[in-house]
Amino acid sequence: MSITRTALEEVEKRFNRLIGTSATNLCTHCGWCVESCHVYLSTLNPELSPVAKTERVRRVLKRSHDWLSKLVPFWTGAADLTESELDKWVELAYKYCTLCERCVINCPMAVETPQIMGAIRGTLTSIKKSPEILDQLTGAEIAREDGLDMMREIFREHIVDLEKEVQEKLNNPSAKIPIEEEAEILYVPLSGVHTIIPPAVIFNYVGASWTLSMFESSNYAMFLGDIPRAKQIVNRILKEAERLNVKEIVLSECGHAYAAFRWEAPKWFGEPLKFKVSSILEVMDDYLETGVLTFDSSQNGEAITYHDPCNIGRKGGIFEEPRRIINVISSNYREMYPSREQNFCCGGGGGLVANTDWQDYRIETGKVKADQIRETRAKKVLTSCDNCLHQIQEISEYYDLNVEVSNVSQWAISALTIT
Amino acid sequence: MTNEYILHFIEYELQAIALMWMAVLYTIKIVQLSRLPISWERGEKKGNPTRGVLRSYGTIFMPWSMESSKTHLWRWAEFGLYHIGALVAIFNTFTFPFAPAMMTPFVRVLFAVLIAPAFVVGILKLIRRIGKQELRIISTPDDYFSLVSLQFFFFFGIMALLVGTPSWRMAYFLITAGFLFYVPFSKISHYIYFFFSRYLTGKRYGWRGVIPRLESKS
Amino acid sequence: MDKDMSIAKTLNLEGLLCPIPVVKLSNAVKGIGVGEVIEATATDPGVMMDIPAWCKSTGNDLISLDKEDGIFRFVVCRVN
Repeated sequence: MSITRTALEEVEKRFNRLIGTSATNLCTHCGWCVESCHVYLSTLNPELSPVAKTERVRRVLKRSHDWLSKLVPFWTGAADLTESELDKWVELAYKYCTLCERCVINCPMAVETPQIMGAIRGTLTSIKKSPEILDQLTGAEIAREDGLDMMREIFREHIVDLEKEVQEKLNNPSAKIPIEEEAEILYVPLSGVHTIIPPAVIFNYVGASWTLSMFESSNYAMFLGDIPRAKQIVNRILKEAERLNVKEIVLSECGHAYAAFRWEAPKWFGEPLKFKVSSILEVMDDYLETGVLTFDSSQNGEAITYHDPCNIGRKGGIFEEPRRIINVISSNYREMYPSREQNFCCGGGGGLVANTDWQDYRIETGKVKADQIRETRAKKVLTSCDNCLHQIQEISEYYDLNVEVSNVSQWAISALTIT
Repeated sequence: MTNEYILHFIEYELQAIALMWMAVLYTIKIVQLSRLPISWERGEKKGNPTRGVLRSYGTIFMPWSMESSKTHLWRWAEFGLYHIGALVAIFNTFTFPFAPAMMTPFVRVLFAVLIAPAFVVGILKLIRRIGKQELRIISTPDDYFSLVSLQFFFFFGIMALLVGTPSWRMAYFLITAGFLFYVPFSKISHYIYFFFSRYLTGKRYGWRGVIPRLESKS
Repeated sequence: MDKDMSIAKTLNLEGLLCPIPVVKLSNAVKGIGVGEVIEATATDPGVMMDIPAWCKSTGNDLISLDKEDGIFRFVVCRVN
């Protein structure tokens, strides 16, 4: 079977009501979405507007789903899928669209461009045309489970050093980083130590019953639209949570991990998860509200701003939690404009940060975010996503923003009231 | 065959056939769409999906809610004028044959005044579609044909209202029938998909507490 | 590490947070021949988990992974 035919069959498998609605005549080509896209605004390339990008895919979908396009394709711009077009799709779905959904918010018809691009990502993965690095990172995440005994040994060694850091920060020699112990909370970090120490400090500070997961929360399979492997990555954490009898799974500050676990996984499994799933931001916000977490705000007059990661904010519904935390600590918080559901993608979303082949382009499309940050005149940018963190660090350097970038929890622990 | 008979046929029988044609095709479209699988939100609800859906349908009436309309208020006004004109021109195809008593000179002028801005906006839309590169590269023959046909629809509608001779009315109702036959195939059928799209998107954003945004803990 | 095994490439990944060390290692490995060896240093302890997992999933050989003075040093041989 030809690769284009296989691709079309794979597209059909993913053709659901949401995509079907957006795939044919919903879009009137009005062009309102054009300026909502950071890729277009950074490049001013009309072929990179949301509608132009989606149209490249839509014309193929129309060919098989729209009556007029089946009969007289030239009339609606419909076209058959070719091998060269498949190569173009790789760039459209993985490079030129970060799945940020800003165009959806600003489309009068609510055309779901990212849903279409997500289906195309899955299609490309199934025919092995997706970026290799995302596939490798997914493979590495899964391999962590395959070699669990060896990993456990490495992990325990690794944690001993981190525990000392937590004890020093809290001035408390009995502070612990429990691993694989029965507890109320299972905290799932990323690999980076900056996602382990701050939550460990916070959990010890409030005296929470918690344990650290053996796994990491990131889910590169979601970027690939590879649902079987995305489920596998989530499932191992669910099994761990069940084994440890926890009540709540708390995720590190990672945008796509939150979106995957909190919102997408229940859809993949077809039922609600047995555990409450929260971001560490939500947990910190709860601790603040109940008064168990207290901060010393006297030293925090530095100009600070917050970047809403798309997966946490526009796709996740977490807007006020980080702001409540930041405003307790900082007396000089400056809102970025626009922000919350209208915030711009940093340019590194959708797995783009991991792809060094497209690094120059990624920095170029970070221009909108750089301009937004510059306008706040903040000296520090906080965010809640490692991809955003990395991207903003790079654009800060490239565009001479001269800002420090940090995750919220990492920044917040320096202001803890420690007696 | 008299002109009167032809006009009657065009205003009644032909419209009825065209409307039935459109209704059948729309029914098929809606059934096809409804049969596609959908995975509803299943994560623990954070916001209010009903409010999300209502807000989603209301978005277009709240220009401040989208950056694309807030920063281009004139474009939003054009959108409003265009759709008001289209609705009046469609409504008019029913009032002419079925409520002739209602069509007083004042009402005729009022309807014409409501359709006229849509005609002007249509010209601006056409100029922009040809003149602006970002619109030109995404435009298809269907885009141009739909836009130009609507211009004729508005124009004949205005002339039928203001002049009112059988030939203008014939032209108006002929293009109306042509539209009814063509619309289910073209992008003009966007308003059918609109109800699906806004519902699904509104429900998802509402469920997740994205839109309407949750200002405080529930 | 085999004393006869010469290092084809060295990589400084210090200061980078995961998954960037894995991404850079993956790219660097593409630039060496099969059977050749790459040596890298990193500071993010996440590499202790990520590098063995990446080697396992891609089929490359992790020859060594050590920690000294807060620096993680690892040697990887390209297999395919």
